[in-house]
Amino acid sequence: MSKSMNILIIEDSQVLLNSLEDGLSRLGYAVDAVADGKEGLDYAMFKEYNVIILDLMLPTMDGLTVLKKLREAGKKSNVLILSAMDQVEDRVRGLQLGADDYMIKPFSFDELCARVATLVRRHYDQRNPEVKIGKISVNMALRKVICGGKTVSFTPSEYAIIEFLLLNRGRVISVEQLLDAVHNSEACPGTNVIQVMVCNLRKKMSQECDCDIIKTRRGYGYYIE
Amino acid sequence: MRSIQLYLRTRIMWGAALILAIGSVMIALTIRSLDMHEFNEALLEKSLGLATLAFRGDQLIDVSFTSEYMPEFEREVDAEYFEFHLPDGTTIARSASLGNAHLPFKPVVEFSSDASYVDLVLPDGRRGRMIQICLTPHGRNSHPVQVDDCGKRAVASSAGDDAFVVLGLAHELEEVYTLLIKIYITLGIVDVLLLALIYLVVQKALKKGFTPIAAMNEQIRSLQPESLDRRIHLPSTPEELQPVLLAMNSFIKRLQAAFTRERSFTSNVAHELRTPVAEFRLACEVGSKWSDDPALVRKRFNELRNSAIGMEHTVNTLLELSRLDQGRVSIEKSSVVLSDIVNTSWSSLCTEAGCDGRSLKNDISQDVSVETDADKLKLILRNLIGNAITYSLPGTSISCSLEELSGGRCVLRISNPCDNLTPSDLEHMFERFWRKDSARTSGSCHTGLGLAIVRSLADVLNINIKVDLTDDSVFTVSLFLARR
Repeated sequence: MSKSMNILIIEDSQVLLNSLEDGLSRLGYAVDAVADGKEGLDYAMFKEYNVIILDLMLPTMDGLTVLKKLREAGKKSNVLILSAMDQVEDRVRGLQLGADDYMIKPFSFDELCARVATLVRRHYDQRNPEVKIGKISVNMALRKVICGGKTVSFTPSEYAIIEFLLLNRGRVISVEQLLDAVHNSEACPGTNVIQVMVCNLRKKMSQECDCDIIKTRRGYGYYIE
Repeated sequence: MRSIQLYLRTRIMWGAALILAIGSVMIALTIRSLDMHEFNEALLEKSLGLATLAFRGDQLIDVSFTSEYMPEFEREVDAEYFEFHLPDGTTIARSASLGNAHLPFKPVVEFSSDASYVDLVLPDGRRGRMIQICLTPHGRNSHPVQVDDCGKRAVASSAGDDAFVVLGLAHELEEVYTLLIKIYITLGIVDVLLLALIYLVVQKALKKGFTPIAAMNEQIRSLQPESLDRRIHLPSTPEELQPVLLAMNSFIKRLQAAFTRERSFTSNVAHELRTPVAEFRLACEVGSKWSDDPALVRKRFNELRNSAIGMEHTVNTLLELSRLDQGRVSIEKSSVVLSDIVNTSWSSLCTEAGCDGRSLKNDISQDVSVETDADKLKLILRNLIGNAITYSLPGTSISCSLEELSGGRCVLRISNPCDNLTPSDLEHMFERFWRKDSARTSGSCHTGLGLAIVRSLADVLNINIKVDLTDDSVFTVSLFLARR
């Protein structure tokens, strides 16, 4: 079963929640956002997320309790704690309870994205952020596709498809899986959007690199060899 | 007083010196007196011995003296001197040692058994003393001169024999004076030695006595803000220092509590401000990253505005608290009708934020007023009623009541059902940034400072506040006010 690129944000500050949801969605992640601990735990138990961005000071159930319950239930989602509590003991406690990373507020959005990308790659055991396929080089840390020394410009969703297929290299990914992984399914009007994006993607690669790394398995989906 | 040790040492030494000086003077005077008394006695005895040499013949009085047994009256060195006189001053006999000199003569009118003494310079220049006595020379057949048990002379009189002579006998005092000076010097040396010894003993005693103070001083100096959990401890505390030690440890405990509150407050403030700052930063970064999307940018700006309002509220509340803490507030007292102020607060809160089906039961009589600062009391009531609205369930009734107390006081109570409080929450309620729910939700008007402000305002207005929670979860705030 292929893995998705889902992110769950559990943060009680509405401003932070909205900004994070907007920003990460535009980068191609499928984002779910909740504002209290209990609801966040329910989401995390129900669905497998690549990364959970977790605030600590939450209503109804604090972040560390959410984390503890997740790990006790055997959930392997990567957890990035995002908190204003900056003492060493706070950070140590969070990491000891099973968090994979800890960022202190206020933070840089770019740094958060880089750390999330690292955790996503880790989720897929992809240590090296740079992958070469023929003439194309994909740098997942910089979210860039380079062909013949030139950067090929893709939309965030198009890039997210390339990255997801690369992370599941060798596997055929269905359209539904791609939709689930790279787009917020609640906002999606239909499954056509994936075909359109793949088509655009291929056009750009042909124009810039005269090659196409994405293969189609008719009736099943897409894959990268 | 610069130094207790120096003060004590100086006073003790001066006291000891004074006592020793007075003692020494008394001893010296006593010794002198005893010495002189002894000298006088010896002189008297000798004069009585000489008196026996005077005899009365048929027609005259004569002195039968031979130097064979009293050579001191003949020699030139270390000589003694005597002179016999008639009452009119006529010299009857004198010692050879006098040479051409005479002993002073005090005229005597009638016989007296008392001896008189006078200090003089002897013919050879030495200091001396002379005794002058009256004596009745013995006749050939008369009774000898007798001396009574007290050493005073008494004359054995015989009928018709009333002629008497006056004997002056002088002896040098140099030896006595020399001895006295030696005694005085010895006393002085002993005094100095004693003073030195006292100084050493006092020094040691003071040093030992002040050791607990030095130990206490050392422990106090080693205290740091990080080590205020330590207490001053002395192995054996002197009685006089026990109250000081207790007071010092009590002070350290209060200082520790103040530091803890300060650290907690600073940490809370930093924490409270971090989230709005994070909101600002994230909204700006996301907005600028997708600045070509007007809808996104507009949304971010709205969020920034909300965050700024929340942060402004927090900062203003903190500043107000700071002003209250420093006492930089003026109080303007006036007569305040309690019922009106409760109703006004309720109305404005419902208008601003809505009451969501909650109702106010105001049982305060219209004629009850208190003498206080109206604006500050209004702030207190707005906070309390606002909390009652926020933390009670929709549709519940919030009640305000008044109870009259003795001594011109009354208590205003605001009660509401509240199902998420526990008795252990009551002691923390007035702490700054305390909220039942530990979430730091920014943009909310509840910063956790409301009750802290209420407490500070109440302190300024001399209002006592008490909080209670019944078993059936009714929370009550009681304000103890003074009537007119």
